[in-house]
Amino acid sequence: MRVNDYLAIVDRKGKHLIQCRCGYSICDANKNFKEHVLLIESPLKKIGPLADMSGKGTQFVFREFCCPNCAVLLTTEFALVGEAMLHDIELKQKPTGSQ
Amino acid sequence: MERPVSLADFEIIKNRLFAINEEAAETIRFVSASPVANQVYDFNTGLMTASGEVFAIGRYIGIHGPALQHVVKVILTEYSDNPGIASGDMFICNNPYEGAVHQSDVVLVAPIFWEEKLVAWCGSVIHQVDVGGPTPGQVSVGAQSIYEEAIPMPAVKIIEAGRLRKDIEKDYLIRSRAARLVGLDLKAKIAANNRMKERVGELIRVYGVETFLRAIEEIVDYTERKLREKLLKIPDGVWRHRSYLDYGESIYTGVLTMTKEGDALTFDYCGSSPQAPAVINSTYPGLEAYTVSLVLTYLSFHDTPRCPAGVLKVIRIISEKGSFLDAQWPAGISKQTTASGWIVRTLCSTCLAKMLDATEEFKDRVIAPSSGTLCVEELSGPGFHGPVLDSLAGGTGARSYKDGIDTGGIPDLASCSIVDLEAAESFFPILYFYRRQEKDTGGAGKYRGGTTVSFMYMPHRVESIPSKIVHGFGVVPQDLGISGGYPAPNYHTRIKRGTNIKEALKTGIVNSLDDLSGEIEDLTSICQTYQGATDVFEAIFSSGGGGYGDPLDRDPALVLDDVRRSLVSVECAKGLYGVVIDAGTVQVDDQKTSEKRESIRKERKTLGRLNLAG
Repeated sequence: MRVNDYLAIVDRKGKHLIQCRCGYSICDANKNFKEHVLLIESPLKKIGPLADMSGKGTQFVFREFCCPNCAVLLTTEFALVGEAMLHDIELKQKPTGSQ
Repeated sequence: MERPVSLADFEIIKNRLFAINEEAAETIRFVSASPVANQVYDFNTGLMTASGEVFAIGRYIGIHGPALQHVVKVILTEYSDNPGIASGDMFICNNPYEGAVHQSDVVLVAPIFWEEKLVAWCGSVIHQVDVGGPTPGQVSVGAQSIYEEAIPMPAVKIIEAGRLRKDIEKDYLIRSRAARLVGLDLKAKIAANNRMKERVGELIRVYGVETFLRAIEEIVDYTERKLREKLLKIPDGVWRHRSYLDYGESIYTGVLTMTKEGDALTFDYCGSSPQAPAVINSTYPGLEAYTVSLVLTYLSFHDTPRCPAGVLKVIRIISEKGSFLDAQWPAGISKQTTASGWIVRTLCSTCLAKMLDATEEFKDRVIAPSSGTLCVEELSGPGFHGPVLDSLAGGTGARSYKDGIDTGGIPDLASCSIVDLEAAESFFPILYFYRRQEKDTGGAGKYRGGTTVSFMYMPHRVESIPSKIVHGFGVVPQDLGISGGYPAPNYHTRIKRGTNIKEALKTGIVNSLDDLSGEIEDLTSICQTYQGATDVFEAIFSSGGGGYGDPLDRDPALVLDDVRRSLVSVECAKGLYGVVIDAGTVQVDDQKTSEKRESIRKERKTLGRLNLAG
């Protein structure tokens, strides 16, 4: 079952896991997958030369979340420095049928 | 004898009612002399049931239509006996606590009677260039409450039995620095409402009032059914987003928890920052209007009418009174549409895009968020008042299968535009040096977000622009990409003061502030300043669109095309997309591209901290 373009929830013998397109199993489906993948925190400038031209964005960070196996970029978020990761996608429905 | 509503009649009546809205919009365009209305189309119209439910709105400013219901409900609740509601009456209102989104969006509603029975309402809203207050334009710079902003007008009967009440008209117009324009806009709304009343009357004459009433009820039910059918195909879940608004030294956080369960959606804004002692707040009608407008943008597809009342049957909105998204009297509201309202828009578009992205059947309907930091300049001086709204030419967000549209506009302002450049120069005393699609303003991704507009101008035919209020926000970018797509960057505006522009123009074309001497002054999110005779203003807006998918998945040939079209720089092609372009041949270097992309993946693994929480 699709989560986004790179992630799906799969049924592994009755256990529901979030899996990357490369086949890497990230975590249980009810967890925040961001807490189980690679996190890169950068200044806002990371998104391009026109970001934060005022230079006032230092209280924010740009977060990239990547698959630990294939390094594909799974999602991104902005946050205040030190702010907790957002559990932004929490699917309640589960896939049917075991793989 | 009344005819029943056959499917054929229903389709005809439904489409006719939306065509009536379109005719009302054309009426406004023809009557108004304000470029805000007749070129930008910063207005909308709507039709309502006898109790005020909005069942058909035009295709212009998405938020104007849904908010009409609150004004009508105030009139029905408070004025039915005194001053009464009769055929030929119209009520004006720009009180944000009664349904206007903010003071500048002035509402005019009219009851529609058939044989002495109230059967419907119609309404028009136009953004007015100035409705008074301590500073010109929509935003009262420095105000800490609504008492220091343009004084709002509660719902007032301005037309009685078909006659414009001169005393009320005078009371309304005396507040404005642009009374002639605002006065003509009032006439445009009167004409639009009259046209809607006439056309609805014709419809009733043909089909009968009972059929008409059943048909409008069916439009609401049909909209509800179509939305619920779609929601049933979407997996149940919760989507969350945070969006940040900077004002002065403070950061206000908007929070949305959107829950889809069965065939219903809940928008819970609890956790958002408290209301601000400033101009940036939203009242509940504004919060609801943005939410409804975004649901229509993302879920109506091609087959669901623009019927806010149908949306409201499917969604539930939860908010904390006293938050900056549901502020209480006397919170300041004048900047709502470029502040808290825009935050609600970002919250909704991000959650709705992610929800569709999780749905196999609807993934092609994803539009990444865009235009997250709208910025407006209000120019004012002897003989000229009004906003420059070029920022509406934002790039749209990327889709899951193609790029966003460069300077494609704002999806929830479907048919709005920007002022023709020559017309802008004729209306305002300014001279543009350029207005162009700006490279590197679309979010990177497998599919790139649309790039946005940038522009530069100076005063022309006048000694100066004595008041120039620039208001937006956006220290942090708002247009998040989807499925690993990059966000679009945030906007920036600046003035170079005391330039050598007149000498520079003698020697050639001026394409950048860098071509000029002078002192750069970066402008803040909201400020009132001026523009002297040789001061040149430049704006780079983050009205670009977010990207879709990992930028490293983008076809190098598409990146090359972007570079050739000056939409992406060679540096970003390499740094964000990992595509190396040979400077001599202007071709993709396949070997170096492969190596660069591999090195970025390795870097992600090296820099990335593996989270093992839980």
